Amino acid sequence: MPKKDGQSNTSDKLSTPHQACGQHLPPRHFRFASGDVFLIIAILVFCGILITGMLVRRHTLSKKTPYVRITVDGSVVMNRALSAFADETEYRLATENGEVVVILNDHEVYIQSSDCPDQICVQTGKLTKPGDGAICLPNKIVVQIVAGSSDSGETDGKVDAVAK
Amino acid sequence: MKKHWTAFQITKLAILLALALMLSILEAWLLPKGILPLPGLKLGLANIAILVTLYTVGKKEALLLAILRSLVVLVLGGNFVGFVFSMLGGVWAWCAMCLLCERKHVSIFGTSIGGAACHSIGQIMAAMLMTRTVYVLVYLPYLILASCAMGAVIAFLTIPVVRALDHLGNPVIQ
Repeated sequence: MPKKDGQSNTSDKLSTPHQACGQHLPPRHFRFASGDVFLIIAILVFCGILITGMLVRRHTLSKKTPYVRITVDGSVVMNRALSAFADETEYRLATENGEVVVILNDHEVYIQSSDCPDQICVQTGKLTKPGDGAICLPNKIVVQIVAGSSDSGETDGKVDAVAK
Repeated sequence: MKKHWTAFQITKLAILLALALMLSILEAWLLPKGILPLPGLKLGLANIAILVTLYTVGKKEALLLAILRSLVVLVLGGNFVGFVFSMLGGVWAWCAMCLLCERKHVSIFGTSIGGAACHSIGQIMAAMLMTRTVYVLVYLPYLILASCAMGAVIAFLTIPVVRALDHLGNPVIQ
């Protein structure tokens, strides 16, 4: 480890940095060791448990009625059953970067366009089942499909701009 | 850091910082945005410079380097969102790497992988702060797994560098 032993007489060593002080790093730093294996296994197990849990949850949720929930900067601006959108609906959200257009119909939701640099939310594609979601970080928008129980009630008020 | 820094120490950190920045640019050039399958996933070439600092200079210097790198990237035309991400990720990764590099049975490999995993935890935290939703957490396991692979690649690249510096008699260590 980087121990600064020779600190007291640093100055004369500094003048000739290449005439090293014979200090070498312990070779253990360069060899793949048991601790590395443990660490990797621990991470794999941790992620495995998380992914399994998520898949199981997603499976159980998929039998419930899908609700679409749109969150802007932490506040829910829409929480409605997906079946309410029998006709294809265009939902426009005004943001500081411009506009985000969400398309909703009775079986899927997707972000059609977004004024953001990365376009990750658009590339996420169509959301169909509870547990699916699209995130637009620059605009702080989360569009997700959640399961049945409308815990925060049906809200689709206080929208910046809605157009059909 | 009560002691005054010598010109040698300042120069050496400046060189490492320049190296980190150059590697950031190189990475943006080699892997343009969106080429990697997960949003937020990066190779993290700049972490080579941080790891080299951690092993051959010191821990405080490594943290300083990580923070300065984020700041300079912000000043040189980065955006604030990216800054928050790289700061949170960098500080978390530094904490993990500090703990790991002292362990007897953990090599640069483990340090790099652990740092990468914690970097992605920090990034998810930043994303949760940004969106104020917990939904972002669904990305966490995938991001951790992918970043561990990246961490292993970085360790492969770092080990020869640290070894070479060590063979030189470690001119940077003092």
